[in-house]
Amino acid sequence: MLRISCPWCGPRDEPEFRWGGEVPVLRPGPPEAVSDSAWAQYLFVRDNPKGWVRERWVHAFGCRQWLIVVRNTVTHEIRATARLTEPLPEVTP
Amino acid sequence: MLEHRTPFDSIREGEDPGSATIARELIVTPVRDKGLLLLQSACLQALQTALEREIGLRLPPAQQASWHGPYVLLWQTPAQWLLQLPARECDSIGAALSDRLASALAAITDFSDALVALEVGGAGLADVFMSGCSLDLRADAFPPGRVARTSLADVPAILWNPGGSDRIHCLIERGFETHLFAWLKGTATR
Ligand SMILES: [Zn+2]
Repeated sequence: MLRISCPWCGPRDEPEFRWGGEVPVLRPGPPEAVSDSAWAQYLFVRDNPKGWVRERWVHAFGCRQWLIVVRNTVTHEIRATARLTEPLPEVTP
Repeated sequence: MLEHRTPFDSIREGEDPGSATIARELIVTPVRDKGLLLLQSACLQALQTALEREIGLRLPPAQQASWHGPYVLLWQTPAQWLLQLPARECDSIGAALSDRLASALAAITDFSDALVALEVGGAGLADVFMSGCSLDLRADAFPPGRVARTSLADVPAILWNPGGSDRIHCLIERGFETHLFAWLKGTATR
C-alpha cells in the first residue's frame, strides 16, 4: 500500500485517494483544427514510463483536493507531492 | 411509508440511559440538539469577519477545530468549514451569516440532516478506530482540537477530538449508522 503525503492533510493511506492520470496532458486546440490522430493521441496515448512519473491524484476521502504526486512506477517510491498551484516537481532522477 | 430504524434510534428515544455501551467499555452517544451548517467560501477575510462578528469564532487552520461557547468550527477543505451549533439557532445564524456574506462569493448550507454526529468514548477507542482508518488516533498524535476527514470502516467520516484523550466525535453521512454500529460492535468484540 502506498502512503501519500497530502499537502493539506499529511500522510494518508492510498485507499483515501483516487488516481487521476499522468500530467501534463494538454488539450490540443482549437477543436476544428485538430486532426483525428492528434485527438486520439490526446485522449488515449500516455507515456507510461518505467520509472519516475508525475501523476494527478485526488484526496477523495480527505480534503477532496487534487495534488501532484511524483511516483516511481517500478518501486512505487513517492519522491514528492505538490499542490496544483505550485510548480510541477521535477522528475529527472 | 417504510419504517427505517437504526441501532441509534433506541438510544435517541431514551430506552436506555442515553448511550450504548458496545464492548470493551466502548460507549457511543448520539450528539443531540446540535445543528450543522456547511460554510463554503474562498473569500477567507469576508468569512472570518462574518463569523467573528456573529458568533465570536475564528477560522481554524487546516486540520483543526476552533470553538467559542456552544459553537464549534471544523476545518473540512481549504474552502469549507462545518459549523456545529445549537439546533434552535441553525436558521437564525444561517440567515445572519448569509446577510453578512451577501457581497462575497459564499454558500451556507444546512447540513443538520445530512450527517449524524456521535461521541465515541472508552478505553479501547483508539485501537478500535485505528483498525478501520489510516490515521494515528493515539492521544499524542490526535490531540484536542484536531480534525480529520478520512474513511472509517470504508465510509466517509469526519473525526475530531473535542478534548481529553478518551473520546472522539465522529460525523458520518446519515444512513451509514447501522453499518458503523455493526462495525464498531464487531471490531470491539473481536
Ligand atoms: Zn488531503
